[in-house]
Amino acid sequence: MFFKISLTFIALISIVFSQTDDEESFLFVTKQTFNRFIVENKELTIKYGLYNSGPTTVFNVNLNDMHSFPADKFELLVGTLNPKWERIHAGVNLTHVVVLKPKQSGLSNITYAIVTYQKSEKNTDVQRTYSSEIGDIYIMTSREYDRRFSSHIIDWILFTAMASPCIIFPFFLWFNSKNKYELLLTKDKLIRKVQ
Amino acid sequence: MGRNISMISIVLIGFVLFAFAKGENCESPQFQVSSYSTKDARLTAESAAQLEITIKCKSGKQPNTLYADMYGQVVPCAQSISSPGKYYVSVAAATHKQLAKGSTVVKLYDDESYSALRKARTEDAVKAAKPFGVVEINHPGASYGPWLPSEFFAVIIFGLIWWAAYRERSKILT
Repeated sequence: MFFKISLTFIALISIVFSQTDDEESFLFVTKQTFNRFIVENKELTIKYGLYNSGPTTVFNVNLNDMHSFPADKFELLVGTLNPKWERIHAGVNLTHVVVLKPKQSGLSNITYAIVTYQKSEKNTDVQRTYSSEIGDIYIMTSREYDRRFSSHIIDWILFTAMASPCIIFPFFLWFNSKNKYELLLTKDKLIRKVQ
Repeated sequence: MGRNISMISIVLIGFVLFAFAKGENCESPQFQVSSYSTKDARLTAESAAQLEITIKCKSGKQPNTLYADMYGQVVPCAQSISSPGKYYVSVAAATHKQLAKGSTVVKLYDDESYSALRKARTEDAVKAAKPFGVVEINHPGASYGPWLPSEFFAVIIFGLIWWAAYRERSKILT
């Protein structure tokens, strides 16, 4: 009898413990860029994805990514690199978008963002998690990008301007001689008619 | 080079939807919105849009949390730590076409209206839940640049010139 009771007791304890384990929720954070090409002085879009995996709400979520994009290398155009959410409900998938402008070309290392949160409102323990990192990126010079994708309208205007003397000068020569010839021809016709 | 950023500022005043709200809540909020969406489809593989909402309240108190119903999904808005009173809501689409073009209505909910929305079970009840405010986001669509490359026009123009010259020449010769 005692054995049975103790067994059920242990079983109950294990259920309780496993349940407390289950009730914790974790925050998963991804960090990606949308860009096919990262070009200086052009937009660089960064997307943070926050996903609350657990069955409970997490509180006081702070994302900090100021260290990845120092002010001397990147200019912030849209959004904030230091957002916070009061709470993120269970199962919610959040997106946060930041648009930056790289100031210099060359290699740059973009690391992870740091996210801190609380697992419950009462629990003041601050959980710390890191997002995925983008790693080394190559920032193209704007000349390199323009060579591939610019519409080259100014180049074509310049080309036309340079090519036009070769076309217009012979054209005028021909045009003048043609006019002279036609005048002569009409005069000849008139003289013949009179005769 | 088209500038990709266009800050559309819409000031929507007078959404006094919670006229009878308590003093601690934000009364007669004014929304100042600046929106961003991806314009250059050649530079990026996916489209993103973001709304930056600045709320001014009569009582001077900001709503604690703000939820936004954007493209049918209710998500909490991010708040800026460095500049309080600014709220951000973002969407990302896997392709450029997936992000709806034109202006889209975004409903904003504060704590009180959000709890009313969560309690609503039927579709009618969801519709009846009054939002805290309504703003708009305008996405003109991402462009892939000019339809035909400039080389095409250059070839056509110079081809026409050559054709005209050649025709005149053959007239003289015959």
